[in-house]
Amino acid sequence: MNIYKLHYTNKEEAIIDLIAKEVYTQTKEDGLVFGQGIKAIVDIGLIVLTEQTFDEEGEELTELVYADGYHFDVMSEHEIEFTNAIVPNNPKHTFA
Amino acid sequence: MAIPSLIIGGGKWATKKDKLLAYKQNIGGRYFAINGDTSRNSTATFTNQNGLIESVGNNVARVDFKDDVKGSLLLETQSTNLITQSESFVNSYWTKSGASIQGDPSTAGVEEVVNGDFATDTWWGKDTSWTISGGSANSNGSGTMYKGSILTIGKTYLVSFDISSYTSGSVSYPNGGFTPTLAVGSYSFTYMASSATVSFSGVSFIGSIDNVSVKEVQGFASPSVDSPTGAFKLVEDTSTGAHYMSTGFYSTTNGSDYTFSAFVKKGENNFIQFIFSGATYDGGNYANFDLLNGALGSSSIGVSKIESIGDFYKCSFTSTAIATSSAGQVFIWKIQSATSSKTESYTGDGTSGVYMFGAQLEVLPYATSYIPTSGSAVTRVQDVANSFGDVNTFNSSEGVIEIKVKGLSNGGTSRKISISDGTGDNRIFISMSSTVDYWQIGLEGSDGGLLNQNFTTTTPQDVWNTIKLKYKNGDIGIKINDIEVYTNNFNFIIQSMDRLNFGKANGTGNYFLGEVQYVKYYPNITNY
Repeated sequence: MNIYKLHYTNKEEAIIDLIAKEVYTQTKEDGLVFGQGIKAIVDIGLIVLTEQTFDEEGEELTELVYADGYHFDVMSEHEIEFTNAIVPNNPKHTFA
Repeated sequence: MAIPSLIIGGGKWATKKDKLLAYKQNIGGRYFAINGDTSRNSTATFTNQNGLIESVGNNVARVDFKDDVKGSLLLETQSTNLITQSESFVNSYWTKSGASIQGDPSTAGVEEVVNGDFATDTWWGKDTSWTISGGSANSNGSGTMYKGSILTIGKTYLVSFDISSYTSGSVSYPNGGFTPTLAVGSYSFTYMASSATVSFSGVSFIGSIDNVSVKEVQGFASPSVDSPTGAFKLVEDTSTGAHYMSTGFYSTTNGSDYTFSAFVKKGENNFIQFIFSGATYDGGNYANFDLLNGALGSSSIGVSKIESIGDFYKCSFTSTAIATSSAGQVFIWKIQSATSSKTESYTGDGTSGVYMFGAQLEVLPYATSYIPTSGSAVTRVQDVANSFGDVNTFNSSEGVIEIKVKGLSNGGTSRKISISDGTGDNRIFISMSSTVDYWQIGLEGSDGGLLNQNFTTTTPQDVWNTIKLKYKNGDIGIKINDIEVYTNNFNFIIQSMDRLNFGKANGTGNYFLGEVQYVKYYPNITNY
């Protein structure tokens, strides 16, 4: 099984690319469905690097910081050529 | 009485990797095996025959309460547990306020601190503000007293110590997130080690500490085979105010349903409240749970459920986000009655609590089976069960399909059980419709004839229902719980049906999502 961790500029770009690579298939009846051989698509979205925290008075202690870009994880039974696959050191998402 | 040519379940289940055993019986009572294919490219959990949560490997079908008459095949959609520490409530992912997490003190292991009574000036490293003398560790300013390389990162420890004298400033245990302490007294807390070092840090602290103890501790008995001592106790402190713990922040999408669930057992307290944060859920939706009687209490907008699992209750609460935000949060709030208002304040006694295990947050309108996490969000993949029977099993010109099923939800998506030749041209299906209380029947013949009919009932999809579909030229009928709810005189020519799928005829999509106690297929209509 192939697992791809994908980095995009935004969600729109991600959906366009995933349809182009037949990870998603668009159907009249059901909208976007998994393409042939796709076992899972996980919309990770924005990844928080630093959480926003507050003191007891509600004053912000640390600012919310996101990692650059928008993220999807894809599980596929066949290989797909992605140019935007990444290998995170500390993945925020895994498969069971 | 006709004999089914295919039975799936009905109190007799057997699974192995990639296969679920179905069967037929001949007139003499002899069993013949008929395999179906199962897949799920991830591990998953189910409820075993003892009522405990247990995990299975990839591609193994899950049968809740297997070897019991109420055994049922569990088929679920892909889902992600967004809680990144589903069991380790001592982890700093969980914020505690007016409360602490405690393990089972009776399981405390060996003492990790060699010189906790400070009888000699040995073992500890010290900044210049700390001295050891007179049987205590004494601070006259800001600095740290420490000992490295004695704990195992990721394990849970019970820390206790005394402040034996106090003049000014504060002292804290920085690796455990322990609140700075400002008075003479005995203190204890439980935490998960993120560092191998034991340390006490003074901030302008003029005072002494003594009787330091650090011992590994286990949780309490949980409803899980895989984490038998994985439950921890949420204990109120003695303050007057709120007593709760909360998740880390997560992102919400406006209009999406979120379901939080956890296994909770009464301790000295009988009630618990789940709250979705006000920033993203219409001012903060809440639901109360009565852990003494296994009953739902007061709630605001949303759907709450309580279900017995071992001696715990699986409590769940579903609410719709009204904003796209990074400030989603769930609070587990200690309350004093089933009708307590949201965010109740009261004076705690310092000892009373409830037992917690297995927290889960999903972007779904219902809770699914438990997905353990420890450090990241985790996804369980879609269950698939297809290709039961062969061309000799099914009669293409007449028959009865009888199923006893319970959907995971009432409405949502179209969820089919189909018999076909693997194409949409020769198929018969029963479907739980995407519309609440609606069911659907479909027949499509090789002659091009198509019957595709939605019909409403008073029967929700998410309770146990027995459904019989009869098909014969000019004689179509459906009974739900022995009451005929639909008939049609549709004529059709269907050929070569050779498989039963829990989903569409081609094996992909519209997967059946729910529990299946049995499927019986009869090759004629006498059993309708």
